[in-house]
Amino acid sequence: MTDGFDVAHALAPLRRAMTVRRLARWTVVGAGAGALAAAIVLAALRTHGVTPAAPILIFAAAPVITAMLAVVLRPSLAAAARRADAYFGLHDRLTTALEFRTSSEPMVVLQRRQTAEAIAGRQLRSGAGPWIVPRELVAAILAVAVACALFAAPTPPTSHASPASAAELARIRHLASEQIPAMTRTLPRSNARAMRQARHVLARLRRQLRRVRTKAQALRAISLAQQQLAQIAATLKPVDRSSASTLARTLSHYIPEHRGAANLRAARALSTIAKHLNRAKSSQKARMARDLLKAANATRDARTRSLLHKAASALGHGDKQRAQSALQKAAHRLRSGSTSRKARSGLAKTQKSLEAAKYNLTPSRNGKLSGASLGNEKTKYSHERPNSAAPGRKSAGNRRVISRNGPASALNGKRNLAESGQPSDSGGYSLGQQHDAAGNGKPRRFGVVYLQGKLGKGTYNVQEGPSGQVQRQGAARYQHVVASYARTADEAVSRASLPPAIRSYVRRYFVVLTHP
Amino acid sequence: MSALDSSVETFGQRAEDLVTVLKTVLLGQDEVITQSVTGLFAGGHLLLEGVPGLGKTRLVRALANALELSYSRIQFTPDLMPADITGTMILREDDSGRRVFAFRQGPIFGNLVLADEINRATPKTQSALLEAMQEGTVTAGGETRALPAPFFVLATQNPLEMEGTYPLPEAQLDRFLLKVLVPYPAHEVLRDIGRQQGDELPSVPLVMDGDQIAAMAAVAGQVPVATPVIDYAIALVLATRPETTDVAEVKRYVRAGASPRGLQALVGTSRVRALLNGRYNVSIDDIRAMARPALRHRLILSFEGQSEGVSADAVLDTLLDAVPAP
Repeated sequence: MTDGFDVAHALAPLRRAMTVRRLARWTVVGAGAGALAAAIVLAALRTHGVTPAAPILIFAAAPVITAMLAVVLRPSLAAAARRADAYFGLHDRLTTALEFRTSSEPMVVLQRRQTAEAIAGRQLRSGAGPWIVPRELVAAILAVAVACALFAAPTPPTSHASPASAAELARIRHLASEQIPAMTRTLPRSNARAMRQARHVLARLRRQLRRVRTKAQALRAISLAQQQLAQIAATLKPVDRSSASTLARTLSHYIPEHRGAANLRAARALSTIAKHLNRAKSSQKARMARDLLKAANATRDARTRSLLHKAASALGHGDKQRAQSALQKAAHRLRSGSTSRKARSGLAKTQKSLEAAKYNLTPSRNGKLSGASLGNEKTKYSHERPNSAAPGRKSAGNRRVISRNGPASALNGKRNLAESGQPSDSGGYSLGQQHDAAGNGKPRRFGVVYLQGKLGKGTYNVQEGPSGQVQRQGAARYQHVVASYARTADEAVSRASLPPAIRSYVRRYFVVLTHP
Repeated sequence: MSALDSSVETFGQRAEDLVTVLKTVLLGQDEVITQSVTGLFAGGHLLLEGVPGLGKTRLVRALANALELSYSRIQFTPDLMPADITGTMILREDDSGRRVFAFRQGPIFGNLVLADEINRATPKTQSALLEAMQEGTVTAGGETRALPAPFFVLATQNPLEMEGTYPLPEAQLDRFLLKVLVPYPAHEVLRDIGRQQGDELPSVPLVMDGDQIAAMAAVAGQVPVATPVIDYAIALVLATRPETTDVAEVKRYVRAGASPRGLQALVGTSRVRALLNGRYNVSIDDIRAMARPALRHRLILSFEGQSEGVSADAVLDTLLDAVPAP
């Protein structure tokens, strides 16, 4: 500034004005983009019947982020100079003056003087451009309106499930407020990590159950929670008692006393070996390695075997540290066996409670929530004596028909319902229909579907033929069969090396089967 | 007031005087006059292209008269030899009566050389100008001689007559700072021309001399150019090259684009234009205005471009639309 004209100072107000306008503009654009993204996410998630917090977060965060970006990426002085040049028709005078502001070349000084004359009396900040582009504003308002409409609109029930009745909702809310906290309290304190995950799953289930509006959504949420608990349980693999006993026996000469649980004795033996490694002579180390190999071969627990193999191998190579590390791990695994067993047991109890909760949410034959336990359902259904068979079956005269839906109809419940013209209020998996005894055409609903099978220990149906003979027929509840398949499939996909998408695809398939 | 202040002030005044004088000689060709004066102050050579009878030679003669420069005219013909331009060694007697070889200067030894109908000479003769135009020297008889400063070549050529002409080679074309197209005058101008008596060149007042022209060129060289402006000029030059451009027309119709000398010409003439417009900095508008005269003769059209009759100006118009200003 050899001539008293500071172009940077002259451009500062314009730069500030441009920054403020950019802040306003980008915030509007951010709000619009956030609303659009939130609307898309919301629309996608509503098809699953869940109203998550993610769209709200996106909606709120997007304008904040863009506003912060607008401040961080505020216009430079050069950008302000270019804008002023363009706006006031200064033929790049400000841009040149800014770039050569520290030069004292005579021509540059002349140029600066001419620039100062050119901008004298002009309010450079008036060239900062529009606050908001109308097109962007309209687009943002539209996006926000769409998002608000989607937020405000009630969650539509899924196509195969009607809204839950007041009684059902009360039952679901009771489950969320009373039963799930009780399940959480009964989880064991051992194995903190797994139990923390389990509590987290239950807390999420509780939140979901507070928001659901249909029974199908509730059942689906419970099933998903069950799957997650099963996955947690799958990570807990305690050493079984026989393996621990074998190990303790094999390493018995390293343990002074022979009392206490086998796993603790084996763990103590391994700790002793690890402790004495530093002072052991070569011959002792060789013996220890042989003993460890024997113990490894003797145990059936794969993880413990691997660790013992590793320790023996490390000893063979003279790597004491690696050997000690493997031994400590194996000892820890043996010690934690009992806690893992307790944790698995706790998780299994929770699974059973959730299973019972699901059955409590299924309808009884008169369409009300039964609350019946699994044991007495057979008795209830065994005494039904309808006059006519269900649609789609041959008339059975005075035959007592208890189990009327075959496997195919059970697995294709939706199709059958569509054919029979009856809406489902049970989450869609169990309904056939039958006319009542008076023959007045009113459909009567049956809450449980049985699948035919071999006679065994499970539930069976009794049919009385035209000649009065009693026919017994093996039957298993659809829910039991599908749940068993789902568990098997879940275990299989957990073991297999599959991409996560395929894994979740298989699980979703069984969730749909369970709650079609 | 500093020396530079006075120089800049006199620059504008003298340039305006020169343009005014030339406008009285050549009616209705304001753009041609402005571009010619710009090229002159930028210290380069000009190639004037136009059909016969548009006043190209008249303009050059008027310019020579107004500038108090030594003027020589070379009428290019197919039988013109290089020695006819540069000069040759002749045998003559000195004062003592001995016969010695002496160099006789050719017509190129002048400040302002009019190379009339330059494309009528053979390439060999045309190339005799190369050294003179680039280095300002002439080498003959094993000796290099400097040409008088300032040295300007103002060449004219006729775009229509192709019979018996030799198009200028690319190297020769690149030596010209600007290629100025001389268009037909408008109707009103033709009316004024028709009213003029005779074809004699009117008397032209002396506006400036060679030293003043050199001083003005030095002043023009000091005009600052901002980085965004020079970047725009570079973008334009790069866009003329088929291998570096994104413009489809250039890829299709241009075989070779402008050289770094083209960039120098573009920026240099833009500096002069800025000063002529009373500005002490080069703007994007200056670059855009000088792009056509500075680059049109540096675009070598492909066979497809030539066969389809595409002009370099049409390609440059597309370029100016396609390359965004900063």
